[in-house]
Amino acid sequence: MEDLVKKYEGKANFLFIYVREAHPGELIPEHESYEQKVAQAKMLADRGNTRQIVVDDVNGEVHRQYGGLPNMSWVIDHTGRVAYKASWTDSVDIDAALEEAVTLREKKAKGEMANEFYRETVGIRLTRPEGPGLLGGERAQEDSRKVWEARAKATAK
Amino acid sequence: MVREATKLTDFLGSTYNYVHWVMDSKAMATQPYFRNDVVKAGQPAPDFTLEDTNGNTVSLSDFRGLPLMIEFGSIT
Repeated sequence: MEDLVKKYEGKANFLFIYVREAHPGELIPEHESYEQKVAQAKMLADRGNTRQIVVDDVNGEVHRQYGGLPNMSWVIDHTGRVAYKASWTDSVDIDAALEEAVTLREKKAKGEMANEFYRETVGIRLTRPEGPGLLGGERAQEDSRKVWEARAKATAK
Repeated sequence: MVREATKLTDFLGSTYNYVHWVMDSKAMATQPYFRNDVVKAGQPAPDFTLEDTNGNTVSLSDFRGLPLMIEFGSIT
């Protein structure tokens, strides 16, 4: 994502909304207060996130308004309309969506034709969330294991 | 603070603050993200006002005029 930030400098903005921890554990826990949530959001900057980071409230008001999934990405066009939304953050798709959003803005500014169409897709993820689980600690790891166990059971039916 | 117990995560050790968890394609139908009350592509994005990690107030409407990529996420 940091590559895209550089690529679209001056053409698009980037915002990171820090929400509830997806895989909390004893090392990186769930949030007991807004102050704690802000402190954990600041850790993201220390981990190489150069984007502006805003912090949702502890109840996740904004997050839930947008659907509440842990790693969503959205592209909003220059008029404030949703151009792209995905339940997972995929930098290849986001790059394509940003290209279109930039083109739309340029075409509109010149009064040129930019007819729109609607599309839906389902992507696939080839990784399991054990890595992030490890960051949270043993408790996160154990939860992750239980989720995958339950998932395997549900799929077997 | 909200402690929403849900059937999906009753058996887990962490509380997750509030929970919306996709576990399989059947569970997707119960996720707010996929329900009609969450904005779809082509519709106006709901405005919000939050503070950034430096204490500055940030609204979605501040970004009008240029495309904006928003990622929702956490450390873990």
